[in-house]
Amino acid sequence: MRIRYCSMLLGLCAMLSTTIAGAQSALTGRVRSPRGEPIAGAQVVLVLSKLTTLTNDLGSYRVAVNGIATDTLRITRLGYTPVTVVVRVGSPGDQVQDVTLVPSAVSLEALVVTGTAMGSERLRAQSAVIGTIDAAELARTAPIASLADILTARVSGVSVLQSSGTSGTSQAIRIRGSGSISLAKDPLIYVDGVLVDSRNTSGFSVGGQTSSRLNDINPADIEKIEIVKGPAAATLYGADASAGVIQVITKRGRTGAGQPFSQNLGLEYNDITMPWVPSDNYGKCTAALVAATSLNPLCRGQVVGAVVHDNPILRDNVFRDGTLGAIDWSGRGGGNAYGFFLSFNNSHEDGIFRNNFVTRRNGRANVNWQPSAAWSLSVGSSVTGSETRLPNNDNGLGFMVLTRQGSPLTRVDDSVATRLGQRNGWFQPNRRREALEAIDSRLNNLRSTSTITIDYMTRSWFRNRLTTGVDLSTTEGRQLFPKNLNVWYPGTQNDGQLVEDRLATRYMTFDYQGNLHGTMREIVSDFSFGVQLLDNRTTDLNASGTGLVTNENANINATPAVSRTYGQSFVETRSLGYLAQWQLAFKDRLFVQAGLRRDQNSSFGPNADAFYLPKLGISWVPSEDPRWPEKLHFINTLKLRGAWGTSGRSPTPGAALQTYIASPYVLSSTTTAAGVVPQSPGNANLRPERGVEYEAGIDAALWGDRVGTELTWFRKESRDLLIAQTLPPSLGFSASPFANLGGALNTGVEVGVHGAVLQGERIGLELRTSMNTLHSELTDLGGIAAFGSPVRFNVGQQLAYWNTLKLRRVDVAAGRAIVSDTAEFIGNQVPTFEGNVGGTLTLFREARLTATMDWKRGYRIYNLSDDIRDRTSSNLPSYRSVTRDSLPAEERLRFFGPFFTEGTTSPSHPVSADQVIEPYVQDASFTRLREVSLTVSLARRLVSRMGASSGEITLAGRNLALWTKYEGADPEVQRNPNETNVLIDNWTVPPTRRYVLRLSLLF
Amino acid sequence: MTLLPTQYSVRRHGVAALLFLACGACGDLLTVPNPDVIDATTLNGNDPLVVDVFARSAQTAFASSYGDIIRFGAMFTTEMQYVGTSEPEGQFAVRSVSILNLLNGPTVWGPLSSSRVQADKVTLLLKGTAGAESNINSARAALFSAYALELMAETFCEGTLADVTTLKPGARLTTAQVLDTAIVRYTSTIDIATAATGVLTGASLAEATSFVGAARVGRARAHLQRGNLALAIADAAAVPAGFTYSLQYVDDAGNRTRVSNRLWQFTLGSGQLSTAPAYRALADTRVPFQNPVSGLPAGDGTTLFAQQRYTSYSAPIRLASKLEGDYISAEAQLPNTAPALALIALRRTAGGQPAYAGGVDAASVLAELFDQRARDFFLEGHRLGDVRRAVDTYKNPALIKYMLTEGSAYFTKANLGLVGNQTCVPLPQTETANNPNFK
Repeated sequence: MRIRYCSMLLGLCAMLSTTIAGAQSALTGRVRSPRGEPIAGAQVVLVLSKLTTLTNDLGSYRVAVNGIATDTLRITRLGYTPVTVVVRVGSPGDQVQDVTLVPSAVSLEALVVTGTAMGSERLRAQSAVIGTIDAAELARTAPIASLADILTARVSGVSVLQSSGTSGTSQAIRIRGSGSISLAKDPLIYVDGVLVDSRNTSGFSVGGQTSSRLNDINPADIEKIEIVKGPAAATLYGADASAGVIQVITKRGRTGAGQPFSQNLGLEYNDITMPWVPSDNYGKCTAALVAATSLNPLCRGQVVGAVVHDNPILRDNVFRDGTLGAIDWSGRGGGNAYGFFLSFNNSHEDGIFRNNFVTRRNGRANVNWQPSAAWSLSVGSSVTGSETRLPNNDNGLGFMVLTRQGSPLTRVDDSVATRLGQRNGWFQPNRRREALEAIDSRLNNLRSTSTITIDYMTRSWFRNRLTTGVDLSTTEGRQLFPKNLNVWYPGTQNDGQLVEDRLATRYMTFDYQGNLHGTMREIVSDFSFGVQLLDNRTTDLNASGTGLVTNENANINATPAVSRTYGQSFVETRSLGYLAQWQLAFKDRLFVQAGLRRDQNSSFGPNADAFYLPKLGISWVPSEDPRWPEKLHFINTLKLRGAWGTSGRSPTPGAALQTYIASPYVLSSTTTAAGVVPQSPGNANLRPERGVEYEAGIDAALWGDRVGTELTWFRKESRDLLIAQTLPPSLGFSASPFANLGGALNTGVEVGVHGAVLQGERIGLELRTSMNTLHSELTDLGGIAAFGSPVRFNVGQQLAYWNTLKLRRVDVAAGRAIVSDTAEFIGNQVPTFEGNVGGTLTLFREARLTATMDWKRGYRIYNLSDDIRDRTSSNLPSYRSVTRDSLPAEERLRFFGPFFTEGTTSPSHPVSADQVIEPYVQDASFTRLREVSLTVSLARRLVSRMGASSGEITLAGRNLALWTKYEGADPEVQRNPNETNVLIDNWTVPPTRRYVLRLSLLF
Repeated sequence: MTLLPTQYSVRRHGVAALLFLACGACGDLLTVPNPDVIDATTLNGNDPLVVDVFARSAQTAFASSYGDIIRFGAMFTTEMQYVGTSEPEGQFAVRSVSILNLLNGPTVWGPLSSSRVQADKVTLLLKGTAGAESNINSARAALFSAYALELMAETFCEGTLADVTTLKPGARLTTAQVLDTAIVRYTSTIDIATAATGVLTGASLAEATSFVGAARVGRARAHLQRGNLALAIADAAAVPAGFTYSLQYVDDAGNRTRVSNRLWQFTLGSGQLSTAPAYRALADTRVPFQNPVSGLPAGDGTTLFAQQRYTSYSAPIRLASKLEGDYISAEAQLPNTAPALALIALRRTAGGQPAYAGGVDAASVLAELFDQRARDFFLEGHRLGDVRRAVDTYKNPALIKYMLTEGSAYFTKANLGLVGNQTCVPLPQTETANNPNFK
């Protein structure tokens, strides 16, 4: 059936290709690399005619022209040196102009639209580094399943924490570390200039993980991603962008009469496996269990004290091999003054748990229309429908917590294993695999993101751009604990429990920019100004009921009224910003920028002044100066840049208000009425956190443009950090209001090097590496004492660090472990050094082998799972715990104590083991073989048979190997990505491994 | 008129510029609803309905905190034996409450202070307004502010009153200063409620009348505590015979902490409080308990003797009564022992005790009076005030029978240490560290 379905699609694609493609008189040609490989997505501009198009996947372009004229053809592509050719156009028939683009280590002419004002989009003018990922190219070869996969280990300073291996869950993204104590640390996400919702969604609890709205973006639709790393470049994004901005730019159509209509068809299959083998649970057989009458098959017949082991995860096949099947179709085309891009994606992924899947369908239509040289209009719209079923996989009624705390001493013969009350190796009675798999937690999401961009050049010196759009999303969450007679769940939950959640978000963007362009001799002036209005609204309605009549009638109305709960929330923020930037360019080599943005936000306190965000920047390309020394000619391109800028992070909505909580009052001995109690006095002066960043760097191309380097130093100072200020209880409020009190400093160096080691006709080898350091420090708590344990905030330390009693020594003779008198710094939570290295080997133009390896260093994660298995679980099922008496004394005392303080500042006294978590706050440094992929071009004969013009097949793997000293499952787990200040492995499912097989056909 | 291209362009750009600048005047653009929270600015203090909500909420806030004051006071004075396992509660039980105690701020000092702030906020809102409804709520606010202050003075070693107008922390106050403020509030209650009785009818009239009685008892209590004996006698005498004012509670499973009887909650709900052995030994009908409770687990496995003074989540708690006025008057009239002896005789009969056969000197009668108070007001929140008078006024801690003495072991709970010497509860560090007037 599937084969027939695919055959029909192939036929349809071939038919469309032949029917839609037109043929008109025009300038045509192919753009290729020196090795003859077609270059897709290159921008083709006829400068005088002001006509623009893009090359297709075969590298072909076609531009129709009216009238005969001499024009300048300019072709640019990220990663290549631009080419300018004078052409004669408009003669009868098609003129052919093929172009070869030479790879460039540093493309100063590449355009960057994020973080820049109009008139300063060229890379040579950028004073702050903007990370760029060629997502379209990446998706051809790398195993990419989500936006997070595109971002992981690509750009220095951008850190993605995978969090878990459950399909459909979220990741944590940090850029240049964390600069806030109380507010979200994730960057803003824009799609084609419109702010979109990227938050994690839950609606019900599955024990830790949440779904991410980032998963709604189809990676195959993305042309490129631009990343603004910090305030130095984020000033123009206003008072909520200090954690950075990620701009997703989707694919566009090609303008030009007679554009060939090209289509891409991708078929993908993933095999998803669990690379981690969970350790066994252990126990020592008792006299009752070894007896011949014992029901325990592991102990029966053994000697008393025999150590037996069990592994419920493996024994009950809790994990399975997941799969992903996906089909991507996209089409591009255009006419004389328009272009369009259409896409459709359908994917279904079964996770490694049987009740975990993600089904997603995306459709996108992008249309661009250029009625005249002065006007252009781009309209884009995407619709995504998805259904995600999440397993309970972490805490609570999760697979991990209930298997990894089980005891082999509770094993029973299969004949009695399903009887009521049996644990059979699991942590609690009756918690079997089928019990957890029966929990049905689903999120149904429907999302639409629409953008409109109007570009109007009023005069040659006055250009206007209006970008507006809306991101709408509704999510229906539904969680059912089915009614059963097996006592699968605790308490009344066993009678059937239903949770319903309705979440709706609306993000609206209105963004106008104007640009006044002027030239005076060798000085070019660009004065940009604009206004931006953002409105974000989230509403949520939820209800639950316990006690179902039948599972088939799962409806909250059918539950007893006394069991029902309900809730509602509504959050809206609105911000208005004005901006202005003036850029002066001298001889196209020296660029000086000064800018200012003024922001107001509904979340600011009523007495807070408008938020002003200044910026200054300079960019200089000395290598293009005629006086560039001969002896430095091995440096083909050198750009020096420096920037200073400000951005912010706005308070949470309502934080500035004086508030009350609804709480009933007593009317009589039987009745109550709606009343209030004071909640927070608010803070009328509440203003955003202010991020001020200095940045300086070098971009250079060396040795015949074969090696490109990027070096950046940054210093981001965060001021006015929001800290909850404890009030004296006599004021009568129950909540601590936020005040702008704290300060933090993040500094670091980012290095990127890439180069073409081999550039032969038959073989090519490109290598790349990027890495960054990060020093993070809390510099001010506004007079408030250090707080938090074991995650602590203290001046002079990393923002949120591990703090616990520190093991001084083990006194074997005395049979005790000696710890510090008070809690001390144990380690960081944020990596201090990250990097990646990768390369692409091209063989005979037909095969490309790429690999990426990445690492993180200098941080620790609390392995709470092992701590519980060793020391606090009622079963204590770890091998270390069961054999503790026979462990070497040093190891036994280190993990289990007894612990005594050293007694230097106060008399030595015993402390409980739960205060000494140092043995479990473990080094999380790791190196991972992140990706390996092999892409081979299909033989032309085979491709032709399918009606296609070219094709590729890719075999890839993701998360293929891990090297780490961390004792838990994986150092990249996080029990709840929403917990922004604490990194804990608490029964979290580690990231999975993927093997990818993909067929791509071009029609 | 035909526009030249240049003029047209200038106008067009002018309009665009004006539109652009006009956004600057769009102040409303940044006004968004915040229904997730109850914004204080949306509660119009001039609206009688809003004020009524504030006033009744303040009353319930006091009633709720009163339950906790009784609970922790009962542990502190050994009316109840703590059989739970929590260290913060254990500190109350052994009269060694640390300033770092985790419960004092959020459960004892904080809610009591908050109820006072809420009541005084109503007074502030109603300042200068007139009308019967305003008056009843003014009286309500003044009464519960006064009682909050009274309990603050009896429970805590010192006090402080935040300014409800400026929302600034208040100065450090002595117990006497807090009592003086309570007396002012009681006087306001009496004045306002008395005036209101002239215009009110029905349930409102009954409520205003009860406020007057409760305020007279309360003011007598404060005067006694303060040492103003003549004023205490006068107020007690003015309380109508048979008067009783009780706080109402509701059995609401979703709002136990807010609206239910806390004593029953901690007896039945968590099994943390057991009637202390000394009280059990009294065999007095005024100290009812279940012996022992079957099916109710005690927190530490100890046999639970559940108090039966309150037997449901909705059981009312007596706040003021003529009986209390009689006790106050009898104590204040000492060394004239006649009123005290008469009262003692009545109360012993009520409790099923034989006639009083002790000494008839003032000291002996005072001791017996304290004993009878302990029985009559068992779990009604009077015991801490008795401790303060016994220690501070009479310099005779022996007046406080049944309370474990300093240095005693706390029943079988060796981990709590020996009983300490506190006679009042220190303010929590969250208050002293964050109130600049304490630095």
